[in-house]
Amino acid sequence: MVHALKSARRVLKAGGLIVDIRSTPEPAVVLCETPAGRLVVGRLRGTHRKTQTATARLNRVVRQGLFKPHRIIAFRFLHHTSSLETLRTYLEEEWSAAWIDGKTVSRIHRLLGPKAIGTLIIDEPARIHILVKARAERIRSQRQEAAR
Amino acid sequence: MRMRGVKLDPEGYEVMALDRVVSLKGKRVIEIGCGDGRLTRALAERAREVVAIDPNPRDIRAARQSTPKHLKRRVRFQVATAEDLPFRDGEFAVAVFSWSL
Repeated sequence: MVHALKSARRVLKAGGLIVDIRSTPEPAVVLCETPAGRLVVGRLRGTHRKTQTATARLNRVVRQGLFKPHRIIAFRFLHHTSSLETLRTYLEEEWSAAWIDGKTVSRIHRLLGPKAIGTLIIDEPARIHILVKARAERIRSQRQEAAR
Repeated sequence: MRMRGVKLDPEGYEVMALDRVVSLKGKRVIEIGCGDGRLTRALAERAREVVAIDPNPRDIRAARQSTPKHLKRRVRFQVATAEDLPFRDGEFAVAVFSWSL
């Protein structure tokens, strides 16, 4: 994927931007929608995306002088599911290494009943990273400095 | 393809955050790894033109089908890989990786 960033750099015009949207390593929270509002029922266990790898990729192209970091903004990305069964299937299919623990499942059953049909939300911390395409002269000078 | 019974970001927090950090007005945008086009539609509402690529032909078909009529002229979906982008140098002002890096 570093190659993907280099490929993206090629098709960007001078001063063009990379917008990288992804989750952060902090754990996601599971919420249950009830008549009283959204209640936290637990935290998602495990991680589903290789956020550290993506960060390493971004850092590498910045070190190589291909891009300059510009801005970072945090936001919450919410995944709404219609039942506990849907939530579990979604985690299995889309979040390869994440799961909900027994305590969270018990809380969900207490709030939604034995069939656990109702809105369950994964509240995932996420960030948008903006990088600016660096000019070729900057890359050359960085490479020259590195060669010295 | 999105699972039945799952809605992603129905509150639109992702797009709100995007609007705070980058203006796409009048720009040509490439979305790399567009999946089923969930974010592509929001990008197309804002940009002059969006080219959205994904290596999965099934996702590209789904993305095309779910694009509203009024955006079809501004969006082009294409099966392609991020590592080998079939476009000329300097064609785009913004490249978006949405959960795809």
